[in-house]
Amino acid sequence: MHIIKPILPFTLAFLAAILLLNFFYGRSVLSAPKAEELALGQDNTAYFAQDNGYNFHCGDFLYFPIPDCVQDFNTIESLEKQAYLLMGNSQLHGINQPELGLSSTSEILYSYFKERDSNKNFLTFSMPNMNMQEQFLLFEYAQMTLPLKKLLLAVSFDNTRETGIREGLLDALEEPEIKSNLKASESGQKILDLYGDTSIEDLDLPALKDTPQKSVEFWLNSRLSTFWNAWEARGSLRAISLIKLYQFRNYIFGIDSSSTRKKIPARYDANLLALKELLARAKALEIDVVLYSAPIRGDAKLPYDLKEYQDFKIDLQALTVEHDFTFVDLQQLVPAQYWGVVDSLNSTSGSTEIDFMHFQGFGHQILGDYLTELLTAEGWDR
Amino acid sequence: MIFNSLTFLVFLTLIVIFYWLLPSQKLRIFLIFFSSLTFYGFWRVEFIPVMLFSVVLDYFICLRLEKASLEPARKKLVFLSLIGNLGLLFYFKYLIFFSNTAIGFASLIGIDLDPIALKIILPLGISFYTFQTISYTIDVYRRVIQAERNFLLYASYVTFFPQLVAGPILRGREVMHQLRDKLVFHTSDLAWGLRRVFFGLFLKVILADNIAPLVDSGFAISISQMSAIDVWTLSFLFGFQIYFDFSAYSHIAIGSARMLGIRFPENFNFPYASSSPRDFWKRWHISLSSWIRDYLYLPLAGISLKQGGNSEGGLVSAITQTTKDKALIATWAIMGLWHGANWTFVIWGLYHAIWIFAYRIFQKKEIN
Repeated sequence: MHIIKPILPFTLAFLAAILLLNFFYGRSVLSAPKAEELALGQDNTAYFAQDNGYNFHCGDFLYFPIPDCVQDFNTIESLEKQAYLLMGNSQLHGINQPELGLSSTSEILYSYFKERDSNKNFLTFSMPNMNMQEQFLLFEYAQMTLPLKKLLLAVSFDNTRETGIREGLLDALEEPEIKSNLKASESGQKILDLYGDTSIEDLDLPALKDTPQKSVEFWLNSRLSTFWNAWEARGSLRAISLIKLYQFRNYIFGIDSSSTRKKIPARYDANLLALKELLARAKALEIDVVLYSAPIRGDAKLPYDLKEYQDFKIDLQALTVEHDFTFVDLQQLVPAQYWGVVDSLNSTSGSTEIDFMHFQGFGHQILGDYLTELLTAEGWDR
Repeated sequence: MIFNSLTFLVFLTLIVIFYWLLPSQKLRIFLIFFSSLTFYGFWRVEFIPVMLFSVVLDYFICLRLEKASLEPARKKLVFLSLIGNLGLLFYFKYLIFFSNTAIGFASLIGIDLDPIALKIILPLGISFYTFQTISYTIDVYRRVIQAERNFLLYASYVTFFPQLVAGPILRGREVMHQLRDKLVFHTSDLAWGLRRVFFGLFLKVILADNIAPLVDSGFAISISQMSAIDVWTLSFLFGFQIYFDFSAYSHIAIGSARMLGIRFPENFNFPYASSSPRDFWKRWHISLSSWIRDYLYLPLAGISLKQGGNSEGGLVSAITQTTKDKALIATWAIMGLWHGANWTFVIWGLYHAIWIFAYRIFQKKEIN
């Protein structure tokens, strides 16, 4: 006993930690298996529409993978096929209260253009909080892999508060041609500096890159994952823990969905620069662009500083004018009754708050109808 | 091999089990040496010979040192060790830096030189193991320790895997006798070691690695776009990130060694709770500070050590303050350069020297 005694507390603590981890896994990951659902909250559903198995709405490279959309597009046997692309944040795939109707802007645009001309194929790439650096990277990916002719860009003030490229998009940086294209711009170079040398495999332990340890580590992780689900789900567990921390922070500081989200100057500038360079690149490639500021719920106090929000839209307009493209402000397009609520940002007790970003299926119908009209007027159907 | 990996945890577990199952210390040393080479090879196999060069060089130099009785011959041998080890360090760590600096200076006086296309990879831990072999040779020269005849034992001391990546920088007299004696297994050592390893992993994985992205994004922002609060927050975050990161490695090293029954000296002692710049360096990376003091500052200042002692023991002080000050400045500039091959590190070292000077003046005034 005296031999075991010193090691006993540690062994018990270790076993307790494993049990706790399994319990946490059962409570959190198993009940919310999709990362997208987790980010959208309980009242929203991620809806990536398909046409009889044909993928035209994709997420990133991990969830509803973009290469699937590209691959399906390439199965179309027509020499004159053209790709039209809509890119934006989770507003495009998030449906609030789907039981009231499951419809998405992406689906409406896809069907509308397909009916008019089977060569005009509308695709949508959307991921939560897609910032403009990410849009720039995806644009480069799309123009390289698809015969891209038109680009419809949805931008939101919220998304100027984040910069950087997330794990789900890093595969795009594996393409040498994309890397060389990115090098030509300031934003692209920044992206390459930060992420150009990182593949998804290296994210867990970037220090292992190019070492013999990498393959051993990979093998050990995969072995452990086969008989311990919580280990396999460690990425999700980490994400859930961070969400809980984020909710705790919001609880401490009294932050909810209607709290004012101030502009973060450096990130705002980095995003606007990426957008500017995206538009310049599109111009050079003769790809037509329509930019719109995403609808936002209007029956409550806006969660932005009004002056900053107005300035943002002025900046967007100025950028489109500079490049001779079209900008529309759709702030008030979707009426209040077609919005909903979202899980509280600062509690896990099940309470809800106003959702400023995701509307119901009928809201998608309104946005889709408006955009088809606008794009037709722009001559996109010709 | 890096510490915060599943591979290391499996590796450590296997080594600890085999180590204690082996019946003799000879076999245990054998295991330590080859497991250390394996540990190193998991990063890059091709750099094992570089490390072994330093090991072998000082092994033979020290054997000769012990036989040599004339001072000039002994000094020549120490000089040879310094050339060998510092030569390695210079080539792998500083050659690009110094060649770029030379090109920069040449262009200032109107001479345009083509940059040399050098692709030199810095071998992991080279700053640590070269310092260990240098200290071993100097200790033999100073007759603080005797040259070790058992090559495997000596090589195990230099390449001992827990300290190979990020220290502590061990002295021969701290470790070699532990490797030589047959150690007895105590579960209390195992438990203590495990606690330190897991505490280190907590500091590294939970704290340092989660602060790092915040710091990186902070440094990516132009300074003109940051408020005073942003800058202060960033400074504190970075301070904590490097402390958690570096001290985590020391915790894991100390804990891993203890699981094999070997005791390492502490390398961090709550440095941010220090009361003066001098106190800070007695608490931060203690093994480096004491190495720099004993093998760089004291010789530069002309202070000699009594046989068998260290700087704490017997200093012979008949040296002028100016000499000490000059030695201090040179020491700090080199200390900065040790941390990284860049002028910013030299400036960082000198910045610390200024603080130490300022504190000295302030302290003298207070005493007066």
